[in-house]
Amino acid sequence: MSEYNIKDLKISLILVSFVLSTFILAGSFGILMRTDQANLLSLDPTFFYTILTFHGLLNVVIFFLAPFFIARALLTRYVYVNQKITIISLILIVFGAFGTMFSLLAGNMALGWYFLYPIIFYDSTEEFRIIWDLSILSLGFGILLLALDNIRSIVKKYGFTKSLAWHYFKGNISEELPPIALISMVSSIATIFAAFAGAMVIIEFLGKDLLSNTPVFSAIYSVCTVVSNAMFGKIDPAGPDPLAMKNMTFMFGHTLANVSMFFMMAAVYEVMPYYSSRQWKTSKLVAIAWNLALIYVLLAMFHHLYMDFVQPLALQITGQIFSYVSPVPALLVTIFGALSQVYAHRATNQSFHMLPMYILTGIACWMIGGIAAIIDATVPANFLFHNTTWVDAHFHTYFGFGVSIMTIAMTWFILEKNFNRNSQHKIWLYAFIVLSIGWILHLSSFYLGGLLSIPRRFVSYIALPGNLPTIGSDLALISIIGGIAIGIAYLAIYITLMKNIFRIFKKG
Amino acid sequence: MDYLRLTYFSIWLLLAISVLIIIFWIIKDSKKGNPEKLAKFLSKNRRWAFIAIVIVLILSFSISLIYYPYPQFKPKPVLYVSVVAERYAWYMNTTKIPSNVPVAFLVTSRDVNHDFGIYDEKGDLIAQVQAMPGYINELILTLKPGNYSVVCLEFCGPYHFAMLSSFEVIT
Repeated sequence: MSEYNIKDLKISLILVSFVLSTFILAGSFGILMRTDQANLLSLDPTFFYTILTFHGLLNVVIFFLAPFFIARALLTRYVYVNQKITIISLILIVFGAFGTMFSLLAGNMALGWYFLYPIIFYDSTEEFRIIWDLSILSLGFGILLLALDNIRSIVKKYGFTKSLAWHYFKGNISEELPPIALISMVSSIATIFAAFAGAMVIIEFLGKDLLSNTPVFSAIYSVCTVVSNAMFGKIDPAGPDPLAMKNMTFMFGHTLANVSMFFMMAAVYEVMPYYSSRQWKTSKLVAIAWNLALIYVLLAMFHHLYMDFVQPLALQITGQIFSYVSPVPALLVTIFGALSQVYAHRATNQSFHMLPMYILTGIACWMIGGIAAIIDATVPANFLFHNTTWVDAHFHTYFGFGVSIMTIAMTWFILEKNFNRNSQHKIWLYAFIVLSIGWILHLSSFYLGGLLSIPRRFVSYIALPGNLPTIGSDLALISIIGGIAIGIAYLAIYITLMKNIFRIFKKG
Repeated sequence: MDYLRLTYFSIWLLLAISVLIIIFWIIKDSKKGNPEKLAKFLSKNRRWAFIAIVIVLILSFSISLIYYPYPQFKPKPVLYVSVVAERYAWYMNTTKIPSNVPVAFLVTSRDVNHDFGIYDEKGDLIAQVQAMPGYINELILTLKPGNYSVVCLEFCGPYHFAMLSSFEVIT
């Protein structure tokens, strides 16, 4: 008998099915781009950048959604989450995701995943831009509803301060707060900040096309413009300010990308004790660490603007300091804890289950990608690595490999422990070996590219100086070989998981 | 290759290998290990790990300040070069720049965001700064003689990859 709400688990499985299917398309686009960079194909530049936008934006969104929905479903062991809101949000999110995909592909919107203002007004037609804006708003609204309901459900049971485990600071642990509730609370608060920043950016986009024609929306547009300009740029109600928009965009994008791993860790805290037979409870240290993580994730985002020299120096230094301190609690508390859990599983079980191995790999990716990110968050390093393939390297490590392999592990946990699906197949071991080899090759091409100054987001390296044309295309070739291995392993996992999910829904 | 770039890469590689060694150690040692003993060891040494990490981070931060590329940390320029980006070209008021003296590149854009990336003849990225509409970013460099390529490093549209230029640094 499951300790979780079965209906919520099923909703998360529907979402995961959507995520894993979208990943196949978005991943294939990635390989297609590398094939072009290896000079094996000659893609039209607009098509190349359209699929680049698709690849980046959709991967960021789906690998935010998967941990979010999984953590929310697992939260039902402790609190009542509103299922109607989950379903409404799922509809809004799927509608938004399909609208985004449609507008990007049909409208040839080559924007880059963070669509830095004002590029959207140069490379899209008004009709597709409006569909895209509304789709992103729909997605964002769905996410916002879920985050608010997460907070509502946790606060309703534990109260606000206890939901953030502040009572642990005083050493009062008589009222226990499960780690999944604390981390979901922290992550949901950060998500709200991200959703508002993203919404302000989109409203400012819409304002130029649509909203200024109606008084109410015109007022909303003006408020968003003035607020974002005042926060980061200059008090100028005339229109969006590029520096302010850039800050807002990264407040949205950076927070969303980091919170993905937070939600995943919430699920890891919940799932690992099933395999280690050791409790993993909230302690004073865990409470402090996750409260600090909330502050750090919001303030570290300034490292995305190091190469904007007009940004106030204080914000650049803030970005570096908070990027540096962010791994301290994560490493000393969460990662140490997770490693101990895997160790305990191995030490106390006769047979080594591959699921903790998948989680362990995800944590290793978080660490290795995180180290690369911290190096890039050092101003002089950023001066040399910014917008080279080093950037792709770090987020493909913790996001592409890390979050995706943990999504697979969590889906597997839901199927095995809650729907009694047998998952001890050899396929998990073989797929893991092929997947790891594939990712090592794929990631090496990006890390070495960063070391050798290969710029990211290039259709072709042919016109670059020195040996870069040859180096760039050779590295792309290595990347393709790795990508094919990832694709084979991933398809084997996908078919296994989808067959099991399908059977659950067939049974009813 | 720039020694600073190699240093950063080596630090990453060293730490990444350390993570992998820890993972292999967990898989190997945990087969016969004692989880209680490990938990005690970790909680006992957590404080020392914290102190060590904080010292390393403070040192790294302090050293990095020496290499900050911002104008506040650079000598006063003797020459100003205007750089205007517009899809898909770079407009500079001169393409001949004196060597071994601080030169300020005043970089802006007429349309979308670009990034003024400077590569040397060997193909090493030596400096960059964003070109943003409505703002002027000041990049101060002291360059050695030679030919330099300008490459756009911020995605700016379908022909972003072809937004290239060059300048010469003369004695």
